[in-house]
Amino acid sequence: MKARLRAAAAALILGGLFVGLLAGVRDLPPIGDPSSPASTHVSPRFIEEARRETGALNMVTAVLADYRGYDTLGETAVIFAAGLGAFVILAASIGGPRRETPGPGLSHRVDSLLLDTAARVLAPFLLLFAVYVLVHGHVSPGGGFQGGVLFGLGLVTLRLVWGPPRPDRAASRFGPGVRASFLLASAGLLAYIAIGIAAMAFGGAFLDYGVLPLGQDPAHVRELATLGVEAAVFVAVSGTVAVLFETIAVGVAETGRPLPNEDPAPVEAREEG
Amino acid sequence: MTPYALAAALFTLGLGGMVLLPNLVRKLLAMNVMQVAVIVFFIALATKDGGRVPILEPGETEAIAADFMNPLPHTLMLTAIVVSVATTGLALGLLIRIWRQYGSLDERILLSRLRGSGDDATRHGAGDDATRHGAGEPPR
Repeated sequence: MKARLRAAAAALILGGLFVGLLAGVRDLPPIGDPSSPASTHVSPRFIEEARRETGALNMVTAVLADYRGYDTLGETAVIFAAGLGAFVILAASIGGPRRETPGPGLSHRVDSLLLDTAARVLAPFLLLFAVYVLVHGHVSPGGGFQGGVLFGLGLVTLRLVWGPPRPDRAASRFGPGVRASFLLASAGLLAYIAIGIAAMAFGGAFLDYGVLPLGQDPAHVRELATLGVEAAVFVAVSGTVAVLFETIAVGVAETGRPLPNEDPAPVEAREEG
Repeated sequence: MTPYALAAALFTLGLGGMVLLPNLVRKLLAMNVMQVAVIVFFIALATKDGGRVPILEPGETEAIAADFMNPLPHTLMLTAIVVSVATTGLALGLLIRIWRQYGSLDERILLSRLRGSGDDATRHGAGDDATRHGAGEPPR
């Protein structure tokens, strides 16, 4: 009875919230209105000047890596910090005591000819496509974040099939360990900061790429610097994805308490539903 | 109107899930649903009647603001998506740690173990052992 009362109260509160949100929506400008506040302040400038000022056909890339470069640096730092946090939280298990029988986690090589062959065929195209998405960010949908995630997932795919890197197995050399992944992620973030500082060294503001001595046409210089920033983001994001996978996979599979589906004992530890 | 209503529905669902579901993994998924609501909302704000994707054709130099979707919300959501991937990974790391320490991801069981019997929480003790060892070594 108490549970039913609770459910009714929850439904009432959530229903009230939904109705309240819908009522709030009525005061928003209609969807597609070109004169809505969101579309009238800075965004016309971005649309009309991006080509001339930054050289990028893709305005999203221009806004991301140039006009709002500071914000993007912060986002990259957040992503790096998330990877670092996951590593620190689980670091105690990495290098700690191993379970006698490692669980059927994500951390072990899958001995399957099918998966092995598929990974060999798929992986080069996956990784190449990630780089394509990165370098085409100026002229088509794409850029450092998207390409970085794709590249990271390519690494994860290889890692899933081939298991952890081992010196005695050449096929596993593409799967970086935690340390290499961390180096990648840090290098990306540091490269981003370095580009910003380089702009300061040549007399501009932090991340003001136009002053870099890369050519005569400022728009072209900005295009090149933007590509550099996108590449830095690419490296940082792909490294972080690999760090997250490595720490979680190893944390689940090799150390600590068995997972629920392999644990016959204690009954009270089981999940309900 | 419809995208706004969709965002409102997803937001309500996500919030309700975060508050009501007892399992921490489900709470995490509900949080992701809330993030999707915010993304839908921002992308809906970016649309313009008669606007096209904010990418110029090669050779096109002049652009009029009314002809293009607003690129700013797209930019913000692009980074938000990747940040949500990373924070989800961080949250999963936390969940693994909680599982190792308390042997459960069920809120009710966790609360009872936190409140009362300390011996229950440390009976398996694997998490405690692991913290004593250094973290510097790579996994094999």
